[in-house]
Amino acid sequence: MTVKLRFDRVTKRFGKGRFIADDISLDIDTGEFFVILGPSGEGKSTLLRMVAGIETVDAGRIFIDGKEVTHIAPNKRNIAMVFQNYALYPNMNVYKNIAFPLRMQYYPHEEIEPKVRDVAKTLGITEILDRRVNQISGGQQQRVALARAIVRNPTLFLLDEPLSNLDARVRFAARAELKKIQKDLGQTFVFVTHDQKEAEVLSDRTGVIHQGRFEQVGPFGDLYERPATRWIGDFVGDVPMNYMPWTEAGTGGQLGFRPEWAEVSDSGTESATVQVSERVGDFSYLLCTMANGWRIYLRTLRTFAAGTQVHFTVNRHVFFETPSDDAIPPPSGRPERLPPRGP
Amino acid sequence: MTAPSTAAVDGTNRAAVRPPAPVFRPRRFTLSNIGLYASMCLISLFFLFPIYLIFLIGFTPDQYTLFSGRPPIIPPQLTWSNLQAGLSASNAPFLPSMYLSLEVAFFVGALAILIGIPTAYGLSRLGSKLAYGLTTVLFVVNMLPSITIAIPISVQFIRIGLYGSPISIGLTQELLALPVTVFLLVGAFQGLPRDLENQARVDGAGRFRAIYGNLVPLVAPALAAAFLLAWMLSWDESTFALILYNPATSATLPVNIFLAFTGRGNPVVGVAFSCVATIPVIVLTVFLQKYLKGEDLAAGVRG
Repeated sequence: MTVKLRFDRVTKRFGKGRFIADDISLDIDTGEFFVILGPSGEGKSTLLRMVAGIETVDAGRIFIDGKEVTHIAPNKRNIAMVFQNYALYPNMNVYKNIAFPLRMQYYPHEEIEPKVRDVAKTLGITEILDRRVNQISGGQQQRVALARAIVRNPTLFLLDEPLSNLDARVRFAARAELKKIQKDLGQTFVFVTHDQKEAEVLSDRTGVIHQGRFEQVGPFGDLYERPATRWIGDFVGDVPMNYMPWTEAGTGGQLGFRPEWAEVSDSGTESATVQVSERVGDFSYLLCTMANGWRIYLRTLRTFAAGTQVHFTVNRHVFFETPSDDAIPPPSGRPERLPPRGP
Repeated sequence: MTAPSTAAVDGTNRAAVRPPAPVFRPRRFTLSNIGLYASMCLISLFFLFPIYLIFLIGFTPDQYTLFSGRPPIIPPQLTWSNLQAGLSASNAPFLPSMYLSLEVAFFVGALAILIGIPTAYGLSRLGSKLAYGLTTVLFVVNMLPSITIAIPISVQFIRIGLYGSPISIGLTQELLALPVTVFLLVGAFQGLPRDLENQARVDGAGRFRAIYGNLVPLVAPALAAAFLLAWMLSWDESTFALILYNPATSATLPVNIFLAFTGRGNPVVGVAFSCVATIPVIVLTVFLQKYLKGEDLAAGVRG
């Protein structure tokens, strides 16, 4: 595996204030689908824009294919970017939009036409090539933006929340298609999103960004099953992690577990009172309060009324040390047991 | 209760169940409507009446207007003679001055666009506070009385030997036109999504190509408006043009009309040419109309 994109101690601040990127070093491999995940306003897009060259870097270096590009103009980097709002050129029709990057590279007209038709066929937008970009649907606009990125075969694809402007149904299909396109092209995609589902479905590796740093980088399953910090445990997953106080052998901290890592049964070792019960699909999510006042989420197949006392056993958990909130390996004698994950 | 439902089911008597179609009545003339139209007419009259008066004086024999104690509102007779007097007299200044005015106005309009685009683009990329402050500074010349600027500038033009030339008049009038143009274009550039330029850069366009190839076409309506404003400002401008008027050559149309009123010529001829002076403005406005609309360029970027 060769390194496609390298961040070397990249730092960027807003004015003299908050860090957007705080000494970030990271390698992204060739052919990888890398997702940068994080809540809104954490500078995910800014990081991507620094790679594109439309945002300056305060300190550190960025390498593409082993060549430093930190201060190289965006048009000299041979990368493609799909913006959140697609940024289609309103004064050109769909065909001209897709042909634009080729025209910028002075391809002769006879070579441009087959390339545009070819990529339009791949993305199923042949019929709309003559349309104006304001006469097509959001899903079609997204395809046009993608076609414009693919057409000239760049070395690296940057995608800034390209699915977030689509309605749910179209987004579902577009997501699957995007993954397929990436695999077919065999190219490196760096994809920014705040949607964990997109990260889970699309990514080979996901990097979760928080306060200007990658809090954890790895396959999405790892982020969920083995969060490196409490913050990751809370951020990744549909519901935040549950915590219970824990002290053992002189060290103290918290024991974190996901709702499905606990089993609700009458013979359970812990108990809590149901506050709210939500039915989601086959499962009931119970928001419960424990005797010490801590709130936890449990997941069961049964339904419980509010006010009921439930018993549960935690089958699997992660330890977080206090005060660092970093995860530490489970002590011996408490085997890790993975319950089957729900859909 | 059963009768209508069975009728609806077998489809024979649908119309009976359906509510009656709404009847469309023409809009009635209410009192408030009449008031609206009346006030519209009054306001139109207020603005059109001076133009009508100019037309009246320009195209009626002068014994009915200038040399009459009670000038009529309805012209008793129409004539081309006032206009012809301005065209046929041996030293008639009006045709050369019209040509000079056109020359200067197109120069001012073109230069305003040429300088306005990079200036406005640059300002639009600054923070809005800074851009607003700098744009205000540009208006300093417009804040001062023209005469205080015109005299020192004339001296400079005499020094470099350009006094009275179309370029000297145009460059001076540009001082007034450029701030307006820049102000208009800054707004237009600020209205464009920043990512359009970024996208063009990522797609391989250099900065120059991104600005002139991708952004400028999108502000075409503002460019048309800016050109028209600069052009008209020059076409009407008389203070700078009068101070920079070199009697050895020619003066612009407003200057000659001014001179016709102030003793050197025939006032009626001046009035007739005032009417003629509106024609190029109308022609240009009509010609630029399709660019001024530009609604088809409004959409295209989501978000």
